[in-house]
Amino acid sequence: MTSQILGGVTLAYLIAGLLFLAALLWSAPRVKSFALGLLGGALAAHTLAFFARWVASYDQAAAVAPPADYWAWLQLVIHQVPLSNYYESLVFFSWCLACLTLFFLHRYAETFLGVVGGLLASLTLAYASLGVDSSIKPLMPALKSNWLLIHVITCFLGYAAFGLAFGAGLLYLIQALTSRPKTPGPPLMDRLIYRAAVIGFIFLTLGILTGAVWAETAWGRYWSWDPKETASLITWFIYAALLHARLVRGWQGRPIAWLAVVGFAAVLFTYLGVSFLLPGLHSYLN
Amino acid sequence: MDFKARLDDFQVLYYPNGAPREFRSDLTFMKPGQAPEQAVCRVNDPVTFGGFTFYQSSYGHTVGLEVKNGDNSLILEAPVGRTVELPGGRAHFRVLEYRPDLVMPGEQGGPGKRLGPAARLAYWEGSNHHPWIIVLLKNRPELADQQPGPYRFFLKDAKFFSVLQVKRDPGVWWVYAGFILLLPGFYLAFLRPTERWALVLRRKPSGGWDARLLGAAPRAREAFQDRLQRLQVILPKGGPA
Repeated sequence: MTSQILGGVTLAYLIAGLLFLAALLWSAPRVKSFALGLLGGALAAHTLAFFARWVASYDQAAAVAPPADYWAWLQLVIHQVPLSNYYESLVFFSWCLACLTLFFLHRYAETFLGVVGGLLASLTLAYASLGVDSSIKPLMPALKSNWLLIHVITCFLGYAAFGLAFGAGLLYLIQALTSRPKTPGPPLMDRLIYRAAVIGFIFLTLGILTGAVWAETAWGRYWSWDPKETASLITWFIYAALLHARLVRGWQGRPIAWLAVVGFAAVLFTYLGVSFLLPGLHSYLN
Repeated sequence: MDFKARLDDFQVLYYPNGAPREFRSDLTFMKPGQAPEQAVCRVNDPVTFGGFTFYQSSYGHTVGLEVKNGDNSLILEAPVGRTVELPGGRAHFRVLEYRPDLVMPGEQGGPGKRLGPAARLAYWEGSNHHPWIIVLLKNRPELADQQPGPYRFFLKDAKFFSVLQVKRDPGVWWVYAGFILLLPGFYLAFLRPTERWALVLRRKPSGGWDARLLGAAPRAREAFQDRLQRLQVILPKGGPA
């Protein structure tokens, strides 16, 4: 059932993204509010599918080792959060993208954000449904921790915010080449890149810190120079440079947009490249 | 350390599909003058006793071997992965791998053939480091006749060993405090940047006051510009800001 819901959600994100595009090109406010409703409804269904998978994952684990008391039940529920393999991470990444898009649309009311966010979320979810093994696997001992939930959520909210910054940066650069009158003016786009990068930076930092606390409680080391840790540190430095250049050196516009694009390449390398190419503590893909 | 730790048991538990579910070491801590205390150390679930924390770090097998050289027989215990010197010092071996139950694929997709406990070891002599690879099957001791060299290896039994990492670090909470301190820092740096305001009042020759409101926020120029523009609209009207 979950996969059918997610199929519908994929389609709804795609349509919402295209409607936002139409609203942008022909400045049609009614189309925009319809697209907004569609995006919100799809996000609600996505949330439902997430919890349905959580329940299924819990049921499977409880069949092997039924919890004895309330605390064991709570612990099992937390451990079985559907964030433990590649498929589940993609589904959650898409959810974060849609969620942050709605948040930014609410704050800034900029239609092009809906185009970027809707299309990115739809693309991620389509890839998850078509190209990735979606079966629920029993949880490996290394992931049986209460920190899994908070570590993965913070990291992926960070990735999603960087994804939006990337979308805005890409649009900025394209716009600088072919200045179109209807898309929002560069100063606004520039500010959106910055806001998204700040949110992403805060969440990525939280993700790295929760990871360090988890590593300390599980293995007695904060940092192991695992490939993913190293890659996330490089990503962190790139966005730190972006924020620093803007806040202290006053950089704006094109260099910031380029940094947002380069930073997202580093995010993709952290998320996918390391997992596929460099095995380590974080290789949950196999 | 003013106490002793003893490993009572090590187990690997599996899910129905064969994936590992839990690695656990059963420990007993003994302190003079106190009742012994038992604890279970798992991956992701360390045990703390007397200020020291024990982490389940790794595990492996120790293989029990009988080594025969002519009429001489010798019982040896060899941890997997460690080089062992044979008496006389001329020959060495290392157990490369141990399988509690070696399963070979069945014919034409049929059920697998179970060969029982199996070990693979490398054996070499003197300074000539070119090893022979020898496979031992516990249930087929007669295969030892095919082994090279003067020694005959027989697989007897195997047991687990558990590797525990032990750490004493009273500074952990200071580090965590540093982590938490980053959060208000971010709040101040990104979400509430510094602002400076000045209200300049000058008495007009005709009586009354001439007021100028000045503001600057070097870290959030655009957002600040918006607020300033709103204020410029609202303030002359005399309404609430």
